[in-house]
Amino acid sequence: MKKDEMDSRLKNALDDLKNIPPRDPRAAQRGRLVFLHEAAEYRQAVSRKANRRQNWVNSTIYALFQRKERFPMVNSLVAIVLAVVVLFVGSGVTVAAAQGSLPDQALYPLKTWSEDTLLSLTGSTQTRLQYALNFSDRRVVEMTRLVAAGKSIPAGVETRLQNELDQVLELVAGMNDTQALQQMQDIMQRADAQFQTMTTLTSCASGSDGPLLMRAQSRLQEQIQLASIGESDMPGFRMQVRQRFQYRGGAGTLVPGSGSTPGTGGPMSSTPMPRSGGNGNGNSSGSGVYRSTQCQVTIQPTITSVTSQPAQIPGMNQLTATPVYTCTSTPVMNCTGTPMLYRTPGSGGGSGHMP
Amino acid sequence: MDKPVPSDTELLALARQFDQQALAQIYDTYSPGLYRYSMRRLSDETVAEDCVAETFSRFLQALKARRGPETFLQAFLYRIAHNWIVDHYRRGPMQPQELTEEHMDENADPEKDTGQRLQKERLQIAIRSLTPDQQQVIALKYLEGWENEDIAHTLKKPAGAIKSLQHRALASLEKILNREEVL
Repeated sequence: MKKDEMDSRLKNALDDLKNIPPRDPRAAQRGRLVFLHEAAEYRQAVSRKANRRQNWVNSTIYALFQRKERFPMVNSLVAIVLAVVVLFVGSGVTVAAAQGSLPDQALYPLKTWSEDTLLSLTGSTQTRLQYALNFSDRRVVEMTRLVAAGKSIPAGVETRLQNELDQVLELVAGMNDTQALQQMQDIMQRADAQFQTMTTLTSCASGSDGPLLMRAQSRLQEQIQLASIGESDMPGFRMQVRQRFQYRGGAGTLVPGSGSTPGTGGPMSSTPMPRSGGNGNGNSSGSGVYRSTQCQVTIQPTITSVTSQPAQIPGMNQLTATPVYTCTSTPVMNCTGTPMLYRTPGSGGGSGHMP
Repeated sequence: MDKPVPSDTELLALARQFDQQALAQIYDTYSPGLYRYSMRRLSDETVAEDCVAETFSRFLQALKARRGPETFLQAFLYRIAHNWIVDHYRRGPMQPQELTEEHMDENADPEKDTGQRLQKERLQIAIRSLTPDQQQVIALKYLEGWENEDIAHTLKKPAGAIKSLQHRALASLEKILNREEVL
């Protein structure tokens, strides 16, 4: 009897231990963020390791520019010359040390400079693409580390991320179809992972960082959509990327795949694009808000004409009349100075055969 | 239609590729339980958060070194947390906590609170005086409400051994507490 009494008292005492105060949600969110940040770093290291080639030239350049990464297809001669120069001036160590720096640290400009140099010296488009992807990952990691440290994110980081994402599009659009399709999955996965991280960051960052993070989030969503289009319709993807760069003042390095390519309606639509289907025959033209530090440009699509054009359904001996909408995009500009156009997601339109 | 919940094996396969979504799902699934477990054993929010963070960090390290679990992820994570807690107590005495305003409560009954706190602390000390396996059985069985089968996976012992560990642990605990007249 006494034994039972003791058991129940012990049980009660153990039950008392169960009562704990609820977990601080902010601490939980912070812990989650740190965990995912650490995972992202491991992911980068693992993907780089897979691409690594055992080559002494690469090892040398790797030691100079990348603490964790080697690049396989760099222009050997230029790399050697550069490595010697850098070693000669004794700044190699500093450059390597700068690779882990954050935007609020003194060595950060050196880090971005080394990234730019590396990209400009790399000849192979595929390698440049991998660099651009890795650098965009770095930007996201930097944002994560800043948020985790309770610091605000400088606008330059987000701008750089946008530029790197643009560069990815530009490079992949310049590849031939086979190469581009091989890369498209990786681009989509990276953008998706970055989008997830950005979503987490948006939920726990301070108020001042909110708009910046949401901008980056929207841009990543757009990247996913474009990569999704690219997987099923490379010509359409190229068309949209080309238009994107035309709006930005012409990047110039884009190599078009084919002349008249069918467009996929609504390239900059904020709603997810279907992976296949929905192709039209017209030239797609987006609309949206383009911002620069100096001005804001709004482009409104205007339907200028509607015509009926007979079209034949494959496999059927009959003609159907499909209305063709022709659109023009009219820029409405509220600014002075030279506009530097940035497409912002969330609004868009297209032209082509309507269903 | 709801997406089917991936199994531990599927999640772990994705986690080995450091898939962010899978890892986020793992964290969201197991971190609340791990926090409760750590908190019950450590009675300190900051240290419990440290324990959770370190547990997940070691999990990532294990994945990177390709040593991670193939199945029974929960058991794996709790084993790490348990080892961390044992090490934590081995490292030395706890740092005294500073009394701050957040510890003050106008409606509190200091005498009663102190009594309860002391009783809790004595019980925790008594649990810590058990062997590591016995501690884990008591914590998982009586604080977390696990089945013997799940505890067996965590301790990597057969279910029968868990039962006898449990009996021995309870007997030892009662003996210690009776000696100290805590209850």
